[in-house]
Amino acid sequence: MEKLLRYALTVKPGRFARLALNGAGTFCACTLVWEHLVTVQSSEGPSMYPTFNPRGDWLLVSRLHSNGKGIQVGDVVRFNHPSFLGVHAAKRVIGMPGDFVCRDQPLSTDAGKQPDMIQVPEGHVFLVGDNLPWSRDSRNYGPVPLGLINGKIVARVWPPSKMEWVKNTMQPAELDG
Amino acid sequence: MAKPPNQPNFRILSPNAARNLAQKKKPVPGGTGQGQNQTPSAQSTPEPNIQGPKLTPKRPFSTFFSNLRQRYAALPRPVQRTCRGLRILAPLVPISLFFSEHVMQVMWVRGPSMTPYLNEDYHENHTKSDMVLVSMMPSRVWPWERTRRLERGMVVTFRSPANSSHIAIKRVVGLPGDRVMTRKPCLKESQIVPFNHVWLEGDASDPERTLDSNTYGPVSISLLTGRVFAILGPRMRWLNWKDWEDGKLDNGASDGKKYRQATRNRVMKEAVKMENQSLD
Repeated sequence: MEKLLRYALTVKPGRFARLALNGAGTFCACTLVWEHLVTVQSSEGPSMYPTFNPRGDWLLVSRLHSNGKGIQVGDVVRFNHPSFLGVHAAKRVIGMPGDFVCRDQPLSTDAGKQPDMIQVPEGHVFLVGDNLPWSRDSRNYGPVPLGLINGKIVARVWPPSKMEWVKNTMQPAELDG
Repeated sequence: MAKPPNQPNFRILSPNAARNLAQKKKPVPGGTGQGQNQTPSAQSTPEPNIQGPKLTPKRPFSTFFSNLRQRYAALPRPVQRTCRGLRILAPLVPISLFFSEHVMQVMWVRGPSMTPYLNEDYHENHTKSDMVLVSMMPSRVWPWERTRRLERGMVVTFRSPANSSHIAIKRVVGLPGDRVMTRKPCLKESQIVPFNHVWLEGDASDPERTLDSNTYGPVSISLLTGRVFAILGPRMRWLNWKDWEDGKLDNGASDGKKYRQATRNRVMKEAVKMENQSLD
């Protein structure tokens, strides 16, 4: 210990400054990569049940798709919750701006039984969880602005037995005529 | 190239030492002094006492780095100096990006929506735009504090709900729980601002010159990105949100009347009393 202190006294202050600068630069670079390229995060909750485990999965989030860049119908996106500050949620995109979606009752299992449809406004998306009776989503709080989307969920990375890409389950039907 | 004096002229070299010696003899391109540019590793590595090849475990990375070091030492002086300068400047790039994203940022305001307050003489000069200083720090400093202090009268920047690639700048007129009497383009006559949403309006007196909450409704607080706290140009001044309640306009353009009193009269403060703001 004494040796270490003596060593610390001999080191010039300039080296400490270099060390601090390099450390701050590394930290900022890591933060930028984490916020703009890729995030690994655990998610819990029953709202995406058949796709993700309600007990918690670790998900790989591509932050390149933040603000809704390159989002398609059927992608699973991560977004800032519109009514709770600092809360993130993951849901599936059902309608893009301009699409017509059926306005179902909140927490109802019957999809598409309601007679009235709404058009998703400009700059918004309609998000619905996979587990219809256990998901609070756009059926409750309406279409979500694209600016709230901060990533697209690309894969599940943990547990390793269930490691897989998250598939876009809503591909357009291919009818060969 | 001075030899140690007690070395014999002819000796058997280890392969490493022979390679080093061969590199020493190579002329250094662009170097001013031959003796100065010698590699420090090359001077220390010759092992004259070892007879024959030495068997060492192969360490690929150390040879890679010593190779790099030798290459670097062989570079001319000015190149070395620029390399060292770049190495010092390299951490500043992510630091400055981080700063502009999380601490403060300079932005330019375009458009007439905040006209008497920002872009004062928009009606005269449509191309001029004010330079504002935006604080990107969330007002909650600690992550366990779930409040974000917003006040009526703050000028904030946010991602426009209508167009997510566009950052808009408006004034907070109503806080969560307020009842706002809307103005022209809005379809409803009055609107209660929901939890975690704010009512944002531009300062322009003509409702057609501003695209705000009267068009797209209350804006989620999660969409807000920053708070304008100073104007840098063309006339430097600090902004104080408390002036909004007092009706002061700091460029003195108010002619006796209070600034935008009509907008304030349309807001019923805390029409909904929210006792329990917990997350359940």
